[in-house]
Formats: sequence, C-alpha cells, structure tokens
Amino acid sequence: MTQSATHAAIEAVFRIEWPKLIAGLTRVVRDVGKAEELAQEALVAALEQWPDEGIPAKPGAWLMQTAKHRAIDAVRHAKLVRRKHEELGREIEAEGGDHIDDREAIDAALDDEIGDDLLSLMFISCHPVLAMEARVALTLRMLGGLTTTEIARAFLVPEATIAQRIVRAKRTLAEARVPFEVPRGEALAERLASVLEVVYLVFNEGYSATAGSDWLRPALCEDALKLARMLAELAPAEPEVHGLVALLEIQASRSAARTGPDGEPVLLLEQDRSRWDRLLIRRGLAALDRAERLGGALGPYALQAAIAACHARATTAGETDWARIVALYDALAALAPSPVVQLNRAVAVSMAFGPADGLAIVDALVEDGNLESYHLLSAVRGDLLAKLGRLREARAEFERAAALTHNERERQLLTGRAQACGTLAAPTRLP
Amino acid sequence: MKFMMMHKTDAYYEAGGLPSKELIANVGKMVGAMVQSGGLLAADGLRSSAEGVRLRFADGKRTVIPGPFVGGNELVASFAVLRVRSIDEAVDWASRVAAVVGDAEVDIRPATEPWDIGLGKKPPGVTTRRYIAMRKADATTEAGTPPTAAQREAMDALIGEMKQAGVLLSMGSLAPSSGAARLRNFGGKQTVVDGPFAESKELIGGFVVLELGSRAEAIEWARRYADVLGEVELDVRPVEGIGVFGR
Repeated sequence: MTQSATHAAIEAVFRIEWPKLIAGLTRVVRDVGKAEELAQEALVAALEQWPDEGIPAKPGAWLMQTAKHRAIDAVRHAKLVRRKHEELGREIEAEGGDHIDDREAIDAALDDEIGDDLLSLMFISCHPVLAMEARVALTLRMLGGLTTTEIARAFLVPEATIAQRIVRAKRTLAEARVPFEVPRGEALAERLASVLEVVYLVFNEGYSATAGSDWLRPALCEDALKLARMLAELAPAEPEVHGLVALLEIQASRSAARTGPDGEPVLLLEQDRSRWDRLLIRRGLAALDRAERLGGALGPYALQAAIAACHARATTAGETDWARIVALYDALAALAPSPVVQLNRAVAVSMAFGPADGLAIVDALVEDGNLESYHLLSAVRGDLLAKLGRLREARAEFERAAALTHNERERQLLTGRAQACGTLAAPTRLP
Repeated sequence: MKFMMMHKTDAYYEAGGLPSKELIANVGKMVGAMVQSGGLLAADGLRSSAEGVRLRFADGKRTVIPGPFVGGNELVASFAVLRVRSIDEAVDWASRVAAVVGDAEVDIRPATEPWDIGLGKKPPGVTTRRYIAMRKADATTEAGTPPTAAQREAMDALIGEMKQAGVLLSMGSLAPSSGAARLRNFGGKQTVVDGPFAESKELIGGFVVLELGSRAEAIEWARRYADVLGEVELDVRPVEGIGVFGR
C-alpha cells in the first residue's frame, strides 16, 4: 500500500472507531478529556507503526488495545503518584495484585457492550451544564469524530476558538463531576431534549447557513444525520428520537433541489421535486412511522416531521395537503408555542384558506414585535402582500427582509423579489 | 458518498447450502454495527443461481437461460429490486427495461428472505417474492456513457409504471469499475486491488449499500465484512444513484 493509501486507511479506521474508542475509554477513566488524549495517543501510535508494519487485521481492536494499555499505565501512574504522596511505599507486595485488578477491571469494562457507552457519551457531550455552542463543538468532536479544524471550518470561526471551547467544556464537565451514565427517570426527558436540540442545531447550521455565501453546508447536515441515526439505534424506545430522524431525513432529501444552477436558493414550493432524494424520503417516512407506532401524542420533532412528510408525499406543489399541514401547525403551536411556528402556520393558512387569512396572522405577529428583526417575517409578509396585489407595500417588506438577512444568497433573492414588485407597479408620482 | 459492497458466492451456497447459525449471528452483528454507524441504506442476499435466470438481449432478440450459471461477466452496472408474483413476471419487466436500454445481459435472482435460511416462518398470505435484477456491465456502461434524452424519458415513464404497479422497490446504478476496489480474503490474508476490472467471474452472493465519508472508509468496512464472511472476494463499488420506493 502506498504511503497516502495507508494514511487514508488509518483515517478511515479512525472515522469508524473514534466515537467507540472515546466512549469506552471515558467509562474507564471517567474523564472525557483524558479519554480523548488516550485515543489521540493511539492514533499517533497507528500513524507511526502501520505504514511500516501494515494495517493490522483487526485495526479497531488494535486501537482499543493500545489505548487500553495507555489507560492502564495512566491509572498506574496516578496510583503511584498518589502512593508517593501518601508515603505508602511499604505496600509493595499488594501492588502486584493491584495491577492485575486494574487490568482485569479495564479489560472487562472495555469488552462490554459499547452501546450504552455511546449513549452516555452523547448525554455528557450535550449536558446542560455546558453552553450550547460548547455542547455542539464537543458532540461533533467526540461523537462525530471531526477535528477542531473541521469544526472551525464548518462554523466559520477561528480554529483556536473551537479548540478553546472544547478544552473549557471538558474542564467544566470534570469540575461539575458530571457522571458518565444514561440518565433515568425524570431527568431523562430533559437531558434527551438537550441531545436532540444539539443534533438539530448542527443540522440547521448546515442546512440553512446563517452566515457566509453558502446556502448549504452539506457536511454538517450529514454529520447531524449520522448522529441522529446513531441515536435512534441507541435509544429506539424514544419516539422523539425517531421524530428527529424523520425530520432530518426528509429535510435532507431536498438538499439537491434547494439551490439553483448558480447556487441561488430555490424555495420549497418552486423546487423540482424530481430532484428530491427518494431514498431519504423513504427513510424519513419509515422513521416517522416508528415514532407514531411507539404511541402517545406526537412531540415537536415528530410533528415537524409529519409536516415535512405532507410535502414529501405530494408529487407536485399543487397536491400539497395544506389543511392537514395547518392542523399539524395548530398542534405544534399548542405544544411548543413560538412566533416562528406562528409564522409558518400563517404560510400554511394562506395556502389552505387564502393570503388574506395568512396576512391576518402575520400582522398580529408584527404587532407583538417579537420577530422585529427576523428577515423571514418581512419576507412572508411581502409575499402575502404581493399575492393580494398590494405591491408597493410588498416591495418595502422585501427590501426590509433583504437588509435583515445575513445570508448573501438570500439577500440577492429578496432584492430580486423587491425589484419584481417595483417593475410591476411603478410608483405613481403625486402631482 | 454511497457505496455498494457485493460479496461473491461459492460452491457451497450455489449447491443450496445454508449459512451456519454462527455466521448468521456474526453477519447480524456486523449489520448492526453498520446501522449504528448511521450509514446502512440497504442489505440483501441472493439465492443460488439455480433459482435464477439469465437474459441476453441482442439485436432485439431475447434469449432466456435458466440457472444455474457458471460465472461469466459478473460485473454489475445497475440493479433493481422487484416484488412480483413469479420470476416470469420479473423477466417481463426486465425485458421492457431492455427494450429501452438496448443490448444487455441481465441476471434475475430471488432475494433471500429470513425464512429461506431458517429464520422464522414465511408470513401467511404472502403471494409475492422479491427478485433482484442485475444488468451486467459492458463497454457502454464502463465508459460511463449517459443515456440519451429519449432513453431517459422512456425509462422515467417505465419507472413510473412500475412504481404504480407496486413492483419496483428500489433501483440503483453503479459508477464504472474504474472507481471500484476489489478485496480478496484468502489464506488469512487480505489484498485490495483498485479497478477498473476487465473481468469478474465470481457470481454475486449478496450486497450492502452504505453511506460513508470516503472510499477508504468503504474499504475499511469491506475488510471487516470479509473477516466475518471468511474466504471471500468482495467488490466495493461507488453508487451513482439509488432510489427506494417501497419495502
């Protein structure tokens, strides 16, 4: 194998093994920071040895073994230091036995089913004691296997910022003595919500880039999908996990249709549906089915997935079941009231019952003032006004929306719409 | 990036041999790991070629050759999973596809259902069976020649008809073998050879489709899969397009 092929192979092994390595090691050393160091050391060892000796037959086991030995060394070293401090050097006899105990305990710990460890790792990476951006960075690093460089590139921030975020997150977890376990009982719902939120945020960051010139950053979407699918496999009894998977799969199915030939955004109803990824839609509908079959009222993610499914099932935009979408938004607004949900509900209402009904909801939102600087409020209002033939007002709203968005592509789209209103209704000058 | 890993079969399975309980358990574990990685899209095994047919379409003429076959040109260019009442029905659909694409060789083989290998019972009332149709690679597909506009249009219409009839469960096309890798696991040693492959003589035994970050990752999964399967040849093929329409 050539040097570069070996490096590609080592990288591939790491992509596959990284989360399992970190999870297994964290259980042993009870410190995600220490676990990462050990995994990193195993990587360095692989990079040193594999190009000469060839890639071992079971590279995953090799890495675990190597990291395990380092873990034992670390535990021993820590014990030794502690002993020295406590001046217990006289118990040399017992020490031999201790070593064997360490090794056996660590062996047993690492050979166990890794599933619970991965789940525990998700829960601590998304622990509420951490700031949201720290949760995101830590989750992508530990479970997504992204390097700090990759995370920094994805979020368009300097690498040092991400590195620092991760260092601080690990320190916070250690200081707060967050236990490495799957929460039970009442704590589970709240902690699970945090995990789902982090995965959704990663996806959205990729799906609708909030800044920069790209409308989509597909790698982040893929990372989020992978995390969500992993989570569904680890926590199959949680309906909202399947709801989130369904939502992400269906949203991701539209990726190819969301941008035009010049990279400009194409809105949902104008998308070429033949470019939707049928495989992802199929997976999304299956996940939604699993969420529904687990019983109980649908949670916010499953409801959003059910709305996305209405679009996915319609072969043309005209066939969309808007009445059902309105009903689903009603349920969502009752469960998780937010002005953004209301805004989306307004769009659905306008499609089901006409632009005037939609505009009434939007105008109420304008009065509330909560979405004052949200560009989509103006964009939607502009669209409804245009449909009602109130073009001068529509133009002003589109211009306002264009000024508010941080996404360059979206700004172009909105400016274009503003101009289209202008040419249709040249303002008449008063004498 | 999506990849299809196809493992080749051998005389034992061709003679109708059943996989051992241990192998079934190990393959189950492997597939579980693939699901957990978030990448598994599809997986199927094929019944022995004795249960299949080979279709040759040349100059508008069709030749139907019943199995078993000796491996000839086994490099696959595209595939479809059909749910039909009989293999004859699958042959009819494949012939209609061939009428669009032109000269081709197509193998049709039943997919392995759990009850075929002693896992559970066949559900009552099932009158259909899943068949996998595989179009073999030829100079045209290996050159990556895209279909003409007329072919695309006719194909879209046919796919629509098959979906409506509830026959088409999934279909996909593979990139030319120049992007492929072949892993051989014999005598306790694994070797990987890069494509293109001028020939492929081993009959396909089954496949998995995975969504992964790189070709190297696909080869790594292939290594692990080969470890589980034992002495085997396994092709890793980049997938160009895949659609899933039913189960």
